[in-house]
Amino acid sequence: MDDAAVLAPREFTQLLVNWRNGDKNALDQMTPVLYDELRRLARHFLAAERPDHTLQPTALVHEAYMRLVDQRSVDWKNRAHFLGVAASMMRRILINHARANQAAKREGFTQAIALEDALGVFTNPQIDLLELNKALQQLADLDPQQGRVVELRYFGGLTIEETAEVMGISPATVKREWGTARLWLMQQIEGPPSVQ
Amino acid sequence: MTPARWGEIKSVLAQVLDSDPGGRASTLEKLCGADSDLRREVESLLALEAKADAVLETAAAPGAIFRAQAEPLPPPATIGPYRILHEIGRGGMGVVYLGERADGQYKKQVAIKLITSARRDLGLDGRFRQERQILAQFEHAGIARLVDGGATPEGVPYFVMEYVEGLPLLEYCNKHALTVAQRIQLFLAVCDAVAHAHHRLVVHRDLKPGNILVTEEGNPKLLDFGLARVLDAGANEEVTQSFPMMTPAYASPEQVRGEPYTVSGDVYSLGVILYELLSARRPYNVPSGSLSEIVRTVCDQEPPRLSEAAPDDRLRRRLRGDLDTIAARALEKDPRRRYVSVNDLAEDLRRHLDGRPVKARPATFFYRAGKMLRRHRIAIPAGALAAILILAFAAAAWWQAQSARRRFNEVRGLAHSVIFELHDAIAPLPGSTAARNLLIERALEYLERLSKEASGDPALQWEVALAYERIGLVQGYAAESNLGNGPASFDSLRKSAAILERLSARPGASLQLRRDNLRVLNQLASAYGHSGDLKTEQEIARKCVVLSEQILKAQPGNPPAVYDVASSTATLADSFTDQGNYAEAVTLRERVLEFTRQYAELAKAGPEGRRSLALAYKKLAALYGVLQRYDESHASYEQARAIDEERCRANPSDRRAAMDLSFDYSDLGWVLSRLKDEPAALASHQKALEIREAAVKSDPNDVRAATAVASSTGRIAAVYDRMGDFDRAMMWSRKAIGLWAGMSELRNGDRSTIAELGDAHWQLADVYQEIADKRHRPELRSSAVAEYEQARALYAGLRDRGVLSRAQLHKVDDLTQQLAEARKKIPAN
Repeated sequence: MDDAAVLAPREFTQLLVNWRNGDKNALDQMTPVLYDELRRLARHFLAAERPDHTLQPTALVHEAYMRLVDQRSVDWKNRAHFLGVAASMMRRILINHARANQAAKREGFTQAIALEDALGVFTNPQIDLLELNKALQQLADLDPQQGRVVELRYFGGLTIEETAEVMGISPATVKREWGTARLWLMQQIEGPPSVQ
Repeated sequence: MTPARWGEIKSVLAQVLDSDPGGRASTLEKLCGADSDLRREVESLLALEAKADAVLETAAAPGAIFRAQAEPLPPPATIGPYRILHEIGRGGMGVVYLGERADGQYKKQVAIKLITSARRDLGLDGRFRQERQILAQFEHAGIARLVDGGATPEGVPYFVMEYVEGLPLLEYCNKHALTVAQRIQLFLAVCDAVAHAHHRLVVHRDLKPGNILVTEEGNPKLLDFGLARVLDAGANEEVTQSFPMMTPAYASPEQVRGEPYTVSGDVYSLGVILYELLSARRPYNVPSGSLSEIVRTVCDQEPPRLSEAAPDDRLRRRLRGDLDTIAARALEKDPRRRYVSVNDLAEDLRRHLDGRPVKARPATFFYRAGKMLRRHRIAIPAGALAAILILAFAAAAWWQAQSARRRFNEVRGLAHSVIFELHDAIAPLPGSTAARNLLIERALEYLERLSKEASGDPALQWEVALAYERIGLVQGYAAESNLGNGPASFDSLRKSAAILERLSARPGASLQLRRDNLRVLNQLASAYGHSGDLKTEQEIARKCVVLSEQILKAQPGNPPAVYDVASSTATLADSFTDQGNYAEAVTLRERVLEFTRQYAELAKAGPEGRRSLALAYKKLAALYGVLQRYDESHASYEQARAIDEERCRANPSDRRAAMDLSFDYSDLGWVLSRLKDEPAALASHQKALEIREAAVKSDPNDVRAATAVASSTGRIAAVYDRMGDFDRAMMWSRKAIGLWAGMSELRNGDRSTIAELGDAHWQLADVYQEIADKRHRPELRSSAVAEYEQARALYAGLRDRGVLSRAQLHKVDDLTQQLAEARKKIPAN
């Protein structure tokens, strides 16, 4: 499964540039490579033990980027588009593993360290990723553009300017969407003040 | 909440967030008026600001690593051989510090510019040395000397310049209330310096009033000359155009378009400076928005005549005529029509001061009209372009539909070209996403109408399906820039899949058709999974498995087809795992293993292929483990271990393989404990520990390996505990505490490390309790209490920091309870 077409960084970079210049085939060639690379890296990290997992998601994309993209010939916009693609994939990878972890917990296998070792667990120190994902999905239903802004900013780590570039909207709009979305998400996650 | 209501709340919220902290209450008052519900909503959201800052904007965001570079750093103590005194400025490129030679070699104070926006570049040091020769010839009173330069150990470029005490150009002119003639004289001195550099074939590329300081004596000094050259030397063309060293407000049209830079670019920038210097206004307002807006403004917006920009009549009269013409000539969008050199610009200004006729001529009407037409041919916004195309297309389609069947194929061809060619052509235009969607939707309408008329034509239907797939991607497929419209995207992908499925079901359906079907279904499953609808994701994943198997049947032994079966099956298996349906998942995982093995053989997979095979075994083993089928779990882990063992033998320096193997042993230890074979479990954990300790030894900085060592130590303690060897359990628990405490110091507050440390204390407490119970050692009760207290304090600390995940919140309460019980057991003296 790891045998997917291996592209040299230079070739991949060329694809990235071509894609930005409108060559749709480039994306078709690029996406499976990137996804495989992320999955390969995910497997690599997921075989690891729990304590290190907080570092993994970021390292994941970072390493993929380092490996796939020829750093010398990429401007910040290509990087932004790369991260834009990676953000969604990252979100999916993280959410799936959070779910698997939750399922294991629900079944009372909190001690099933072996399961965690093999299936992998991303623990996010600050927030319940599944809750966040649920809230984000609700936000996207309410306001698709805002949902995508959060995905890019949170899961892709894109800056305001990069997000603006990827979405083709102005940085001021991104700033506004992000600033308000954060509060809305926080409210969803916190929920109304509960009795307990 | 409805989208409209959220829109309302969002608008108020955004404005309140934008206003000064002091003005928030009044802004809120003003915007909400009598709508107290609205006000309440906004207030309750505002109350969460600090929390959102802490939780959603921290280093914990998965993407945070990419933002880390953008955050301001405290000033370093030294850069190269220079001691930093303090920060004197900050801009788009980086930070400027005041510094001096730390070794006293060079007495004068210097300005050190740290270029944080550039690529990390370790080759810069050498390049600077090469360039120094050229820069050394740069002695000119109007140019701040470049003293030194290089890269920090991290590869951040820096430049050391003569420190100039002075005011920025515009500030100086205003402070001294210079007349037009005085301003021009000063500007001529600037031109002189630029011309000097141009003669030595060095362009500035970022001329702006802020880069021109005027000393107390009234001499202008240009900063940053030569930076562009050093930064670019040795870089290829791709980078040259991407290096963001420009200030859009002063950049020439060719520069914002990313074309090669020539001296003419500096002439243009000087034109902008002259314009601002004389009229106190810039020729146009460059938006700070997207690059496309910048390009549009700089390339297309014709500046008003210089005199028209003047704030009062007197100045207007003074600027009218020659100066209008000179500024316009310097600001020509087309470099070929600009002053050829800085000297020519200066010459015309001198002629003007002397009252001689200037060489530049005002542009004629026809010249201007021609220029406008040329410009507009390329500069129509994407949206308008799409609208025109749609109208033209609709008209053509209507006319063609009138002439019915014989035109059928033309219409079809047209629709096809709109969707697959026109769309692609406009896709790269910034902001064209909405236009693309409209375009495709419209084309789709025609295609659908056609497909109804030709319901018997499978080829046409196939085309319609692919068009739906396309529009689905434009609407919401995450991997492309899209409209973020999930529901609409689902709809389109669903329609596409439905048609392809129908077509695939027909006898003799082509392989390509079925592959298309599989691809669209995979996209759809992924979209559902993404949205959290696991049930539907699973249904579709099931279909994908069937389909991939059919395709494989048609081409037995085809590696990509085998791969497709394995990955489709894995997706389905994972969806069952996500739901906790391990029984289903395990059967599927067995098949995944089977196909992965086939694929590894067929594709003659190398080490990576072997590794995925081991992982397939491990995933299966973990599921067996959850289902308490420990024998099978054990056997499967053993297979993985054998593979990883062989990988390690084949390449003893492969650290990843070694770590993989250590996890195999760790997992084996777990399952052996379940099989009640504690001695074997112990041996397995010890083996894991051995590998991990070797990894730490070979690379003491490998935090992951160090963490793994701590983790193995804790597990060994647990095994001894279960074996009833409490002395060893106590010893290993203490060792684990030591290791985790060290780790937590190293990782400075890392949440999971602290939790591990808490767990280690907890375990030691339990061991003490057991010894107290079984060996009647009541004096150990208070030791147990102390350990419980430590564990509880650590968890409570995490909770108070708000970083304890929900799944772990109960631990604080559990510990509180155990602590209370342990206290009760302490014998009264």
